[in-house]
Amino acid sequence: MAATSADAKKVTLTTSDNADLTVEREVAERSILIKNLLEDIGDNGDAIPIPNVNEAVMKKVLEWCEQHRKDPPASQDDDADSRKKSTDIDEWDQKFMQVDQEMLFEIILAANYLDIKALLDVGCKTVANMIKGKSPDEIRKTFNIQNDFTPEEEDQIRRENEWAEDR
Amino acid sequence: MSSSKPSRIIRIKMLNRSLPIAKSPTIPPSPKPRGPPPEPLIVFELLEMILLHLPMKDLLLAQRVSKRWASVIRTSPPIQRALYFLPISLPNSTSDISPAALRALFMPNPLLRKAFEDCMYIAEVLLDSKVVRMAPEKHTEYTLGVTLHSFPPGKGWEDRFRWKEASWRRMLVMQPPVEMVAVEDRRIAPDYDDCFCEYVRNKMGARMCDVLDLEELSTKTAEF
Repeated sequence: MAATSADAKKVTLTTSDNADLTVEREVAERSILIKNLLEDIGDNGDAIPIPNVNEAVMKKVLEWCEQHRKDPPASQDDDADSRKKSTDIDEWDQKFMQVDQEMLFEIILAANYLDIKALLDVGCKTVANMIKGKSPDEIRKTFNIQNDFTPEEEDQIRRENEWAEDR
Repeated sequence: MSSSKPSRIIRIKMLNRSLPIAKSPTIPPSPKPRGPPPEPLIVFELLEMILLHLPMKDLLLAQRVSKRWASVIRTSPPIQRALYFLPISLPNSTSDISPAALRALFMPNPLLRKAFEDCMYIAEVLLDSKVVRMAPEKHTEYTLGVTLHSFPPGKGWEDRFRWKEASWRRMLVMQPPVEMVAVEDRRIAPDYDDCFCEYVRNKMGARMCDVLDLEELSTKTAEF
């Protein structure tokens, strides 16, 4: 009631490590989760708890939201099946994603939790680009994945798909 | 001060030299703590989302990374469709789509095209007005034209293709699937105009094993 119109456009988010981040509502609403929360509970000025995201990751996510605040809203997910082979990422997003692996995966988890489809997409594309062109062993080394196949099992898959490998 | 420096260096050098001898069996060779892989590379829907951005070849290869990856690739319908193992379907109503737009929805399997083109097995995958029969009501009646040429010998790739469980055999030649493929076989008589030509049909969608039977070829060439 006493709030000015400028104040009304701000929301406060409380991260998992109890940091309060105040941002413009338009920026925060890039997150469908936050948008729905604000619509459901109404903007009563209370801080919104975001228990799954820490301050460092939340700041990074909000940086992305700020940059993309004017983007048209994501179209309804009718293309869930369509082939998104293109791993083209726009220049700003590419620079934004130049973070260590741990942060990259944290951003993906946060984007998934906060329901920010475009950011989730950029994160997935970035990881796909790290996978592309690598051998299975290089992929395992890059991401610390244990090879849990028996040699016979791996050989079976290798022979099935050897025809597609580069000569 | 300066006079004490050389002796220090010498001591370090000696220490270095003695290192290999001092190799102790009780000290394990730098045990790098192996934590679990990042969560998005385990959670089904996230790993699926990531893998869907990969080209077909990388997808096939990624099955060898771990059991988890193999199982996600094999059980995810969108990934199986992207790999031309599962059919994609056309929009429910195609009556309001122009013939050109409808044709643009069809895409020959790019991996088969590349792999077999290199080996000269399929010289052309035709998808022009000559070979595409428009039948909007029965969209599977598209016909894909395929010309088979004999492969140059001695490139050492044949075995990889001949492997009986090779995954190319199970792949649809086109998405959405076509029922019929016109196969022009120029392998035996490449220069004659009256080359062997046949229509292969598969009501469930033509797969590469319908178009090309390498076992049959090996007997043919053996007889020849």
